[in-house]
Amino acid sequence: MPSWIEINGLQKSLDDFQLGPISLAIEPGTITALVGNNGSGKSTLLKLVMNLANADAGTIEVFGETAAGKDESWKQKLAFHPQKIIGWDAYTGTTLKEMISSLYGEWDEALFERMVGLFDIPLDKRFGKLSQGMQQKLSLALALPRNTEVLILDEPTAFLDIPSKRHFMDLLIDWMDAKERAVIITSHQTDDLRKLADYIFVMRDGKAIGHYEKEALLESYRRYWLDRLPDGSVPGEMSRDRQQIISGDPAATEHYFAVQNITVIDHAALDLEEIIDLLLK
Amino acid sequence: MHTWKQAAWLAGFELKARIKRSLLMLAFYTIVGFIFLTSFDNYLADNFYAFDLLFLLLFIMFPAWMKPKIFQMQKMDGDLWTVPAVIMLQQLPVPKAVIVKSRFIIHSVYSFPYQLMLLVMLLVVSSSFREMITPLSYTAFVAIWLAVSVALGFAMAASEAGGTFDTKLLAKSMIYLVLGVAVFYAAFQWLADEGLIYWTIGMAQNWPMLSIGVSLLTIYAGWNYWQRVMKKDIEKADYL
Amino acid sequence: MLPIRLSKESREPIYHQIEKQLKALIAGGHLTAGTPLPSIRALSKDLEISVITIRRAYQDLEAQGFIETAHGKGTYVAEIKDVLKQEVKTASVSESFERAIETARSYDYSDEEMTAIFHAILEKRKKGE
Repeated sequence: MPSWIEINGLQKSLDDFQLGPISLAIEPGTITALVGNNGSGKSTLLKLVMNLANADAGTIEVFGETAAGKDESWKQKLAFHPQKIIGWDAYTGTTLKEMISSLYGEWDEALFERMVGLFDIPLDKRFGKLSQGMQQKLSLALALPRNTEVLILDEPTAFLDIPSKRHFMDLLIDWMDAKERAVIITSHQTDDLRKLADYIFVMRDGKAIGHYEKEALLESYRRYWLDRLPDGSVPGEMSRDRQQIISGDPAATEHYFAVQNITVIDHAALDLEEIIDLLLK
Repeated sequence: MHTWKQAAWLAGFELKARIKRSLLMLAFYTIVGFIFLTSFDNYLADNFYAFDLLFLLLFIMFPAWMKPKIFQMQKMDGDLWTVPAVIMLQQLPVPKAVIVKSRFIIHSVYSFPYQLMLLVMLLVVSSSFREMITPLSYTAFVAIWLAVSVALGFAMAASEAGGTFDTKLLAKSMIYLVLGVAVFYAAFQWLADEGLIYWTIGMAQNWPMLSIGVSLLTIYAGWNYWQRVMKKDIEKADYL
Repeated sequence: MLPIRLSKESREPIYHQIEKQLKALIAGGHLTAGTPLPSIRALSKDLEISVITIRRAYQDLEAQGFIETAHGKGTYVAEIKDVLKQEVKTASVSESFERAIETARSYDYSDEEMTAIFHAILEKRKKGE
């Protein structure tokens, strides 16, 4: 399948920060989660995709068009929900909808109204006067109905209450099911990652750590409880604690245990959260 | 033409959002202008130097300051300075050329009505001005000042593209700008031996057709030049 | 929501676990022919498994005739032959026995001891009824 977004060797240096080189492809029908510590460059990467800044090296192609080119008509196919919303404060929800809905040919008014009802969003209040949670709800209600092929969500659920988080997740699932679409999401909420992500792209201090399919990532780590801990380091060993060893290469580790006659009392997979923790260390 | 239509539609949102305030500001501006212009007769008689500076301030800078704060140039994350709309619209499928044009429409709405008001008031308030000027030379006078508005004032519209500026550098360039204006002003007084407004009245009286022609050319060139500058600056800036 | 329980402790690949449990639900008559199945994306969210894995399981099940996809209408449980149902049931029972035997072996039980335990459980069950 040809990718919808293709990032190749992207680099950008800022005063005190160096992003990249980053290469990442987004395929139709998938949800890719960007994961990293604060300041790892996720938002910068997304803004570069939206051509809000100029890269120092590398390319970004969106539906075959160079994102940094003169023709930006590809922006019709991308909806961007930024983490920090700029420029909306003076407008009411009604005005914002009037502006945004006119810019997208596939605007889904019914979905917008459903989300406004579900989240109980006051449309006649100025955006700047809404609470953070309400701002986020309105911004999401103005993102999904654009019905673009790609939806880019930068921290979409940070300020949502628990029921709203669940509603949003269900809406996003239905949205993904309705047509061939793709989502890029950054989130510090592990629930978002567990329930939504197909691929996980891990970043640390501007560098790409890896791009994993979720199950492949889960399967590549294992925790073993042993009757005795070997003195030397075990192949694949990431950390040890009392009778416990965490391995980042279960096949090699298990082979070693077999050869060394070490009895495994029990073994278990790691949580996604633990794995990300290990990757970001 | 489609780009202008879309630009006007987008500008409409910002203009409508604070329409009451804008009308109030126009009234306020009229009063301040009226009070200020009562000293115009003095200026004509005694070549009262400071008048030129105050007039320029009222004519060029004031309209831009009238813009609601929420839509003005402001500091974003880090050292990024810009007007919020430039970031907002780039996140939507709006071509950069349309963004530029919408900013120019907004700046026009915040300058031309105020400036024309000031120029008309001059005619109303000052009897000596009325006596010395013919309809044709008045037209030339208005054209000259609108050209000044486009050539200088729209640099402000273009600067709304913003970018990453060091605060120290920003302060330094402000100082240089003020120094530059002061030097120009002093040099003008010394060379022409008359005030700036006085000089433009002379131009309008002596060469009305030439003044109109050059002014229109300046308006055309300035209008296009500053748009190109702004578009380039938007392309160059990093809105991170 | 389908009663599928995945074991992350197991070494058995996830897609295989999903396949097996769906087959058991179909063969056991809990999911009858024509029952709509959740979309790949919805099941992916419920089970917290990527769509890549779910799609693989669905594709395998479709190839084996357990489910069918009507374009634009989603995925349904297919009409399956009794032979196939029987096969699944037998496979499922055999697997449970195998696991029990493996546990017994790891404690060094002999075949006789295992058979004795097996019969004892059967007896107990009979009395329980």
